[in-house]
Amino acid sequence: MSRNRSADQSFYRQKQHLDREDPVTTAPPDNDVLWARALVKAHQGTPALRGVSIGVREGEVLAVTGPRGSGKTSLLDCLSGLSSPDQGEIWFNSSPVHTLARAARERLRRERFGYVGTEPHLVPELTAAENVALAPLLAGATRKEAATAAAEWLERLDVADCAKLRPAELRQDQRQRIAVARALAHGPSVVFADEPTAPLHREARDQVMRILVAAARSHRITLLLATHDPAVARYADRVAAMADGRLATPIGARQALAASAPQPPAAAGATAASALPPKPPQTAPGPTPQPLTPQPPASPAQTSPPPTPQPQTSPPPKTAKTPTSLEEDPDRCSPTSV
Amino acid sequence: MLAYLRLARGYRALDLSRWLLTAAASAAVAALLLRALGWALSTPGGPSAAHAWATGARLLWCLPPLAGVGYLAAAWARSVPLRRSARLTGLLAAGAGAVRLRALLAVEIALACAAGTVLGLLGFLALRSHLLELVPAGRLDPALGVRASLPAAATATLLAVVPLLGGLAAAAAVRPRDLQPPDASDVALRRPSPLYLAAAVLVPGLGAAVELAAVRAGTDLTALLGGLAAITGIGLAVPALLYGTGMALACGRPRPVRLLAGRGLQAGAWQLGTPLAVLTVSGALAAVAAARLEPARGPLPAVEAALIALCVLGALLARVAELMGERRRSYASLQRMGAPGVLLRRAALVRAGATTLVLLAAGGGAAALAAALG
Repeated sequence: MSRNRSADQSFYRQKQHLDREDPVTTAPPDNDVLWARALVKAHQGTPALRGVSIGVREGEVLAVTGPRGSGKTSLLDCLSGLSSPDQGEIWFNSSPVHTLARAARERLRRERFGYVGTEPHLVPELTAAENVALAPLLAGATRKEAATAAAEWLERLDVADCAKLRPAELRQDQRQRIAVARALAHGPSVVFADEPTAPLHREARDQVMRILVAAARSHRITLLLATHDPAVARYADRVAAMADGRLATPIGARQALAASAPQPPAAAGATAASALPPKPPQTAPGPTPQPLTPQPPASPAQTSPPPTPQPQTSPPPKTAKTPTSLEEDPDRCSPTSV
Repeated sequence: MLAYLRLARGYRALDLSRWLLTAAASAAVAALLLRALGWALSTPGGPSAAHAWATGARLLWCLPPLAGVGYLAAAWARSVPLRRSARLTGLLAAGAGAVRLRALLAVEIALACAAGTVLGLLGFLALRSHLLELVPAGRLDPALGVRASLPAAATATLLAVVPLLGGLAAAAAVRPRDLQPPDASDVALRRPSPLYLAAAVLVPGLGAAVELAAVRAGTDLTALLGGLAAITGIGLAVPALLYGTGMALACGRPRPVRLLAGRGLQAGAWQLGTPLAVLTVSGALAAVAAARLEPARGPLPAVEAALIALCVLGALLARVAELMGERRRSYASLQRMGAPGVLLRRAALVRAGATTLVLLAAGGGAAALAAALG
């Protein structure tokens, strides 16, 4: 599918300076929407990134895994233009990001990128709908378009009844869903998610991840995910491990899962089940009860994907065409089709 | 405790200016208190009823500036945890509990007050010993009590009032929940209750009606009472006015500037409205007092008015700084989203403009009521 989404959206100004080919420098591979070469970054002398190179393909879900302090957040901050790397290059859609001035990087962030953080970080005095509508408004949408997009995304994330409430009156998982809606509402090209499920319980975690990934698939949004949780990395197409500021070459999600699950799956399931008794199913309209633990493959050598007893509890499918609970009618609830 | 006070070395200009403001206000109050003592000392003859009354009256005149210093200390102490949240988190992590943190803030304020008081005492002593001559030919002598020796215990007791009051006001002003590490998303929006709204409409309305009717009928005491009620009611209504203005700004489908300005005004209506109400009410009361009291009181009322104005404005400054810190935290996510700085500045400008309009309206109303009384 060609990336022509921004052309048919009335509220997107053309970002020609970003889409222009640079004749001098070698262009990145065509299918890499975002790539970086030899990024070096230090925070007041403490090295955070030591020569990280990464290529993010268009429309994929790429997980960067690693323990805390391994440089995941620094990498996401550099790639999203929030901070500049000390050395190295970042290219987005064949145009350089590392040479952009602050104002241009701000514009890139509000028009082309979305961000979900560990904490929801909503503006406390705005209602949920206003928080979500702020993203399209900042990206240049009209007020009506922004309100419509906000209402539709809140609907998709099962928090439509919270639209008029303020963050202080909401539960943490509701706030995080609103943060996800805010990251998606302006139709970004790339969504950066930095430990998006850290404050959530398992059921909410699975649901938020499913929605995020399904939205990315249906709208051809590239999702760059930083997580230390193997159960979240399971949703990715490719997984790149990070440690001490260095990044390994991304590998397929299945291989990564096999590599990160050394203990027998039955024992792992039993431990988790004994540690956490099953909870009653969530009463929110969308989800069906989730299995407490993801079921890893029976053996590392097995080549089939993780067993998926029900479509709704599975990690999202690898193609946009397979139906999920979210996208029975993508045209109806697509906020970007207004 | 003294080790904690080393933290003050990290203070920046705003904190230091509040330190200096507190000290200066304390010095002025100390001078007023010592003047009352000087008058008491210099009156010839033994104690008499008239003498006691005159001394008491002079001490009573010290109460409004003392209240001003207490208010300033309270505002100052409240703004420290919100402005310096990183420091607070560090102290909490180091094991300082809520009691110790409050004590720390109280001691800090009390030290500023004590420094100012000592300065006032030094000035008083310099005037008494004629090292320094403000007014020629000994016209200040009766106020300085030069004929009697200064009783040390009375002086110390009188002067201890200022740091004690400042410290107590500071300790009482810091609520335990201010000392928790802040989480902006858990602060619920405070909406005006129906009872409060009714009071904010009825008290100034009825008070003004009573005042104007009494002024027309010529009953002075009723007019005064009605006027005071109306002025207090206007102060009561200032947060509601701010809230309403914010709601009006954010109604419909606003663009981001208007939305952020309006909602921000709503969220800060009480925090900002309270010092603005104090400013309005104290200004109007000062105008009433200036018109009502006989003008031959010397420079004392002017000094007191200036002192109180200084304290009220200082408290307002502290509150504005506190609100700015809060806003910076809650807008961090907007900057992460790429909101341009000019947008946030424009929202702040709109908010400041709306606040000024509300202040002008409330101040104008209070001034009109005060003028009708005079």
